[in-house]
Amino acid sequence: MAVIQSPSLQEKVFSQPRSRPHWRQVSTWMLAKVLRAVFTLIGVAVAVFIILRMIPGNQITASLGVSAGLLTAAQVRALDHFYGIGEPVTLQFWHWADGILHGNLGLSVQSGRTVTSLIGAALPVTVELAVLSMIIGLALGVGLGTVAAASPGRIGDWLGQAVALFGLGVPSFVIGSGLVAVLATVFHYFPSSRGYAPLGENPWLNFQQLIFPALTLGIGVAAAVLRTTRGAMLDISRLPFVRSATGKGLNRRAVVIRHILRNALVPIVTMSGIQFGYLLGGTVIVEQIFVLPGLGRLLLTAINEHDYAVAQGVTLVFAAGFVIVNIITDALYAVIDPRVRS
Amino acid sequence: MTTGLEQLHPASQRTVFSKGSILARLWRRPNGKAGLIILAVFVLLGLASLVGLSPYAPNAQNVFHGLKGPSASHLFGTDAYGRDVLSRVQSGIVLSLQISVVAVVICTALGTLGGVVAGYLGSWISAAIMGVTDLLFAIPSILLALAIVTALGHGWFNSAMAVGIGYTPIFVRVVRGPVLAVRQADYVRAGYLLGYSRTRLLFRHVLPAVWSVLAVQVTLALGWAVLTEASLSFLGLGPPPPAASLGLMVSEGTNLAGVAWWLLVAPAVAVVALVVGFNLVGDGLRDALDLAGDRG
Amino acid sequence: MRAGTPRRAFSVAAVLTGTTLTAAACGSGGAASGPGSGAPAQSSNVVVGATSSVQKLDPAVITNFLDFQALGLIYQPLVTLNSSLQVAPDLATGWKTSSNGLSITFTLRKGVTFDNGSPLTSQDVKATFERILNPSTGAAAASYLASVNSIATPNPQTVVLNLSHPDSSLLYGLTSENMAIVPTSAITAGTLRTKPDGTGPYKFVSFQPNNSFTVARNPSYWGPAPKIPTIEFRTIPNEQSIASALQAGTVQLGLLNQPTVVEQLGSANLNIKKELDLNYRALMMQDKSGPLANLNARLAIACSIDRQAILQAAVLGKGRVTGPVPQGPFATNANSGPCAKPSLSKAKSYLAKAGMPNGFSFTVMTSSELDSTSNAQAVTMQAELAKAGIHMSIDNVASSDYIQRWLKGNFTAALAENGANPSPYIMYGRYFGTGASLAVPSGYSSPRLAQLLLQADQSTSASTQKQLYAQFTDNLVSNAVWIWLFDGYDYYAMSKSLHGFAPSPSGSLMSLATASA
Repeated sequence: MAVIQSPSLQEKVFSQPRSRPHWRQVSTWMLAKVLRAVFTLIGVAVAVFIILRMIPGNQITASLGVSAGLLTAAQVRALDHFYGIGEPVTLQFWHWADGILHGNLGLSVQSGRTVTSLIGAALPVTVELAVLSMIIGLALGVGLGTVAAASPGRIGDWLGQAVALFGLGVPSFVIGSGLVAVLATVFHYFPSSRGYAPLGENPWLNFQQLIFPALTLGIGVAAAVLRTTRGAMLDISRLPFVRSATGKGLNRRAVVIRHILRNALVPIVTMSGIQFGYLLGGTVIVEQIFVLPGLGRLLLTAINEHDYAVAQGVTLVFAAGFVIVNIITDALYAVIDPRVRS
Repeated sequence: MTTGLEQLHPASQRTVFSKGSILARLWRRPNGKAGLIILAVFVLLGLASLVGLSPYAPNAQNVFHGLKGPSASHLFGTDAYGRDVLSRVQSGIVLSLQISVVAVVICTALGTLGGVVAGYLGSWISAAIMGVTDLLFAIPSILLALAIVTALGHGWFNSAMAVGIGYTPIFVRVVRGPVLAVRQADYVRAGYLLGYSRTRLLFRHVLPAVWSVLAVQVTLALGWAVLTEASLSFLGLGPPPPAASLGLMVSEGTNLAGVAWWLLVAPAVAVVALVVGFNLVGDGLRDALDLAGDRG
Repeated sequence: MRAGTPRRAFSVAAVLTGTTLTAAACGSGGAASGPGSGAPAQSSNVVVGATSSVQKLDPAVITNFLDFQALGLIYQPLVTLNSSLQVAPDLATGWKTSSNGLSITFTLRKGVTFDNGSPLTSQDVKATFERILNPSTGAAAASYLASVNSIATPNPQTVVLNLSHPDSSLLYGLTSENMAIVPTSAITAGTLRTKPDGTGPYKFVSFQPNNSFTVARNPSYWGPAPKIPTIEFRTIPNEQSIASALQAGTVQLGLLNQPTVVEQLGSANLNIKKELDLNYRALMMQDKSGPLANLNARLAIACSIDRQAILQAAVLGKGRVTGPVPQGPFATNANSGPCAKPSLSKAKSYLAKAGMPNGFSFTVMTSSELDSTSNAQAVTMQAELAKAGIHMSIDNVASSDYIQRWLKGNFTAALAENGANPSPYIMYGRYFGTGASLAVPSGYSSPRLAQLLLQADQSTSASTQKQLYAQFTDNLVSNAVWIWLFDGYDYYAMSKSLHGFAPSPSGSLMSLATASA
């Protein structure tokens, strides 16, 4: 998933607190954020539960397909009971919600595994992929963005703009498919065909397997971060204190890094937080293309096989990830923002 | 009915709606110009198929002439079923635009309504709307679209719904901000004092101030919609075959890239051109309208 | 990523069993060769690449084709199908049907142990079948045991199935991997869903859903000791990538379906084998109401369709046109019936007889999620029918939708990929037999069809059975009940280092137990 021109950046950057909040205020503000996040997650749980119930069929047809027609009435009754299908939907939801509170996300209809164990196996893959993509995106984005802002209109700027355009315009599935096609048909190289190698077991193979998907996702992030960095730095470089710093005869590089980039960090962090959210969605596609056994592939398979409990659990984890990253972004933002710090 | 009020109106000086002027300004920006040219080429290529200007029918099979490379009779070659790739890409562009436009209509309507209500009315309605917005934001949009399409079934309209709903929260936020600001603005307060009704103020003064932001957002949303729709189809959740869907064509092309590279390249170029085109026009529009700050 | 969807996940009764290779190699008689004696021959591990994943581990409830293939290395049924699709010994070394056909006595193989160490006894067989018959197991294959009244275990090596009526198809039903024998202890402990425990040449090692399924050779296997130490089934959701993995040497055996991918593989460093699969594609029709209730209208469709062109469009011609029973001892001649070859003039005359000389319209339901070739079939069929003036519109729906509508018979016509079986009774009893469970989707019933099926099943003479089944399939074709289209190939691409693997018509990978790499 590439990038969305999010207005929340605008909101966050340009509607900053006017007074000087105390740390107590900050913590109250954080508490409110966390509470809101919890409510959001409850909402997500309800929404996902309802949406999945709208899919035609039930767990029996999901598990057996057209063979479900061979079941006798007694078998259907027994399975209805097993899956709790006869229960009213509200009761089903209650059982699910009750399970979540006890750390039990239910059972996969297909594999018979607990959803918790499936997610436990898939989560590290997705987190690693997201973190690696983020590192690539930030390094490329902030680096090229700084270069672009330091020399507007010159080659570095044009290069940066081109990367941004590429990252925003080329969907990750096109980049991914292209990479796979070239690697597989030209180089006969497809690292994932050796089976996923966890980081702890075979770091080198793990890196080979993750670098291409991370690049695919990272380019999209880089594009957004680059544009934000360039824009914010250009804005700040027009501010009086930068002019005075330059006027004082400070080295150009020192001005760019110490004064401009540092002050541009707020929008960059905000944009990174937003990008992380989209990254989570992007993993669905990229994991599918590169055959990584992460949350995205787990979710897609679960939806294809109508394995409700798995789909519900994974969506909840995605939403939780998004919400947590948002809170972290907000906290970071409070730390970095000079007005909050002073 | 011109009153002195219009003079205070920031948007009234911008002539957003006098098309010529905006287009001309857009054309003067290098990014706007590039975007317009790219879009014109590909949109026209697609629309041409609607009036019969495509070499073959998109679903016409010739199973004994499959996987042939580009040639004079098939400019972009044929796929595994002997269907003409150029004709399918043309038809794919139309399908993609059809879904994207409907999706953007949905999210613009829903989002503007939500944003105006939340910004203008305030109170608990606003809290409720922002709550739903938070919720929609928390589910990665591709997942939301995935869930909606799975639940409602495959088809172009359901794809449009899924894509549209996924983008709605962004419109809510984009619109709500300026509406909040405008509500506090002097000329609107003045309107209150002059005894104008809320509705009148809304339509004559608050909404016009949001148009420019909205115009940019609509363009960007179109690019995003093309991209999301293609991603959904790529995952097999778009309009079902035999409809020519660009994402699905890329997916099938990947599988056969070793024998028929054109199957991957042709639809991929079309998707990229549409997304880049809309993004460039959106950027150009933002520059032309001189909207500060929103450069994420 | 269409390829990610298991192509044959929902085939009804994809019959899959071990071949007799191991049983034959083991020699006849109960004299068990015992646990693999001596050091096994040198061999490397083997990775099998497939686009789908193993989904479930409980043999009684599996429906996904790869599940049958993978679990087939772990679990074994009493009897199996040999390479000419006839019933052959597996865990039972022999069986005897009573003269009145009302009981079958199986003699169990000696020296067979489960992975948990306990020996196979008649009690395990009884417990397995009772578990399948228990409604709460939800075993779709329970219908195979419909004729079983009671199960007796006179001694640990003997099982007697007492039947309510003679049932020649029962033996074919028992060859299904769904009928594999599981240990009583695992049934009691309720561990079958997560921990396989069987008698086969390989035993369960690990399972990561959507990723891999690994088995290791079973040192106490009753047959010849397997040479390949471990076999891993790895999910690679794209056939092109399986091809790359084969060329890179990270996968030794690729299970492929797309002829285009197979063709580009070349054979420089790979061996490629193909085998007709045990599925068939058909145009199922609801013949009780609507336009297709008219026999002549159905015959007009049959005469308009060029099945060879559909075969070409769907799988590039790699397969063969088929009749109702594609393979096995009762296979039908695909070129019989009123319109085995397309004929426009015949189609027109049937249309005239139907009172619709200008043609008619109907809708076909397909799901490219369930069968990725259904779209190509439908588009080709549409063009063929149009020549005769029959307008067919295509309704391509999601798999969940398709299954719901199919089960409710809520369609006029549907393109289906159904599981075949050497026994016509098992294939069609569920559709056209008395009290058929799939009578609704089948869309057609006639007392004559039901009677022929029953007579054939209850007959104890092979030649009478053959004759009755031939009458049955003739009846199906001449009434154009459905239109049987074609049977495609499964492809097995393997590295040159893999020796001794031979695919079987049932799709079983059992010969991996005697292969080496």
